[in-house]
Amino acid sequence: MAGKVLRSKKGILLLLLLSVFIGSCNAAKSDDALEQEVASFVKTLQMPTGDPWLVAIQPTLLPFDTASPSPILLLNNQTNSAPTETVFIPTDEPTAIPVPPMEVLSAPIDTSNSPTETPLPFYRPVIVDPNPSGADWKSLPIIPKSITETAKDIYRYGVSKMGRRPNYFSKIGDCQSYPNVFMGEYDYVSGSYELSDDDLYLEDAINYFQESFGALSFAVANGLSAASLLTTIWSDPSYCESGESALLCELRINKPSIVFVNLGTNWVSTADVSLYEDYLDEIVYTIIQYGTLPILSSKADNVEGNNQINEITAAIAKKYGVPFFNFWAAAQSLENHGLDPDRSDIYLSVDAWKVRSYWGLKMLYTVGHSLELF
Amino acid sequence: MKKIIYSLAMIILCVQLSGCGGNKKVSEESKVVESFYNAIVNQERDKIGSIVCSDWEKDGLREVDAFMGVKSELKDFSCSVQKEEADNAEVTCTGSIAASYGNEITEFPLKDRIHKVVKENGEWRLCGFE
Repeated sequence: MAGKVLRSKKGILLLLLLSVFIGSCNAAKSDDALEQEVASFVKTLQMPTGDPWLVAIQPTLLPFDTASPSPILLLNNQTNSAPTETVFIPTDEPTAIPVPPMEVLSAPIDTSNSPTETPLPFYRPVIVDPNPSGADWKSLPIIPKSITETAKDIYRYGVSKMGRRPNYFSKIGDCQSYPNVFMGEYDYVSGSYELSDDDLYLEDAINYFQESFGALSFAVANGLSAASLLTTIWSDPSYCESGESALLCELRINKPSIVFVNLGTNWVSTADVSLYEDYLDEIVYTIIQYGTLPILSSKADNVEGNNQINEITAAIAKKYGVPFFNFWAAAQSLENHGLDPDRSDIYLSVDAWKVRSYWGLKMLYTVGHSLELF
Repeated sequence: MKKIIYSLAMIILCVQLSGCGGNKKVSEESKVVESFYNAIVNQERDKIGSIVCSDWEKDGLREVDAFMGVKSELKDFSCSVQKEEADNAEVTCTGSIAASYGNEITEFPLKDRIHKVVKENGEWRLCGFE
């Protein structure tokens, strides 16, 4: 019977039509699934190191006397190596949840599904100067002589009531905030530094904050901007919770009591700087809410063309009464004002890395000394 | 007999066109999500207003701003509807945003996001994701 069908022209035509139908129909129906399978398989092949974020945000520390001209190159040298730094990931939640005092706000989280859960006792940021001007930013000192009472209050509240780690500072920024560029040289294990006789007092800060210098931050990534910091896509999915921004992830996991905010370099020159102001304000407000003291840094570059970002940064520091680290002023005495001409005068020169780290340490000492930590 | 065969062939052709062809059509709900990611990688801030719902416009703009400092492109990217009702839908995507910064490329996977798409004034708009 089958033979007869195959031998007849009509039979062949019928079989041909059936096979076309079955073939095309299957292909169409499984199109999406097949695409996903192939994409997933290709992805697996392309990621021998696992999570690309581990590569992106957990670079290995390299010696600081390296002759490498750029932080980018330093990172490229070890893209496939496993991270060697230990990231502090607490396993226990704070044991005591304090009763919120008058100045404390409840976290704006929906607790309707968990009525027994006590809201986080957020710190209420104080507006020290409601109409701040940053116009004088160029003449502000590289580091202040001391910090404001408001700044002290933020730190003390965070440490005593919000589980902030008293001897841990963190960093927020782009690749220029990785430890191999910013302050990692003061890490006893991976760093290397020398202090002059006049600066020996800085050892107090190096000892006290020792855990922090070589540590990696979930809020530092290549190309990270003020807006990136507030989005969830820039947070590391391996460690950060779903819906958690890179900023909140760092504040939750590492629980810093102090954070250097090194932003502004990745702002697009054509974009409205008032947007930057909004983002930075939100970042600073959030950091303070979590009982962490932000140190706002000016930058050496002028990507926006009129130094408005430094002006905004100084104004926001005044608004909340938090320290302003005027790195721009420190960089002025350096060749090409601390900028690398081979990298479009945007990124810092290697000499500038060292100067920034040195003044960052002095800033840290000032904060610690003002708080009588050492 | 000829007639029977031709009739059969026509029926098969119709079934193919109506049934199988439908699966290949990209839905409007998916298209709006794809437009959103295209706006991000092309740094088209001005397009966001016509892609996202009014309640989510500020967040949508922030997502675009987040990639302003890097050069980015979509890699192995496509979106499909997972759940659909009259005025809302859930869309998921495959692929990633590949952002280059200097010589370094960082991939931002999109596969775990469930995009909420709603009908606003008769048009599908992206209204956030989880």
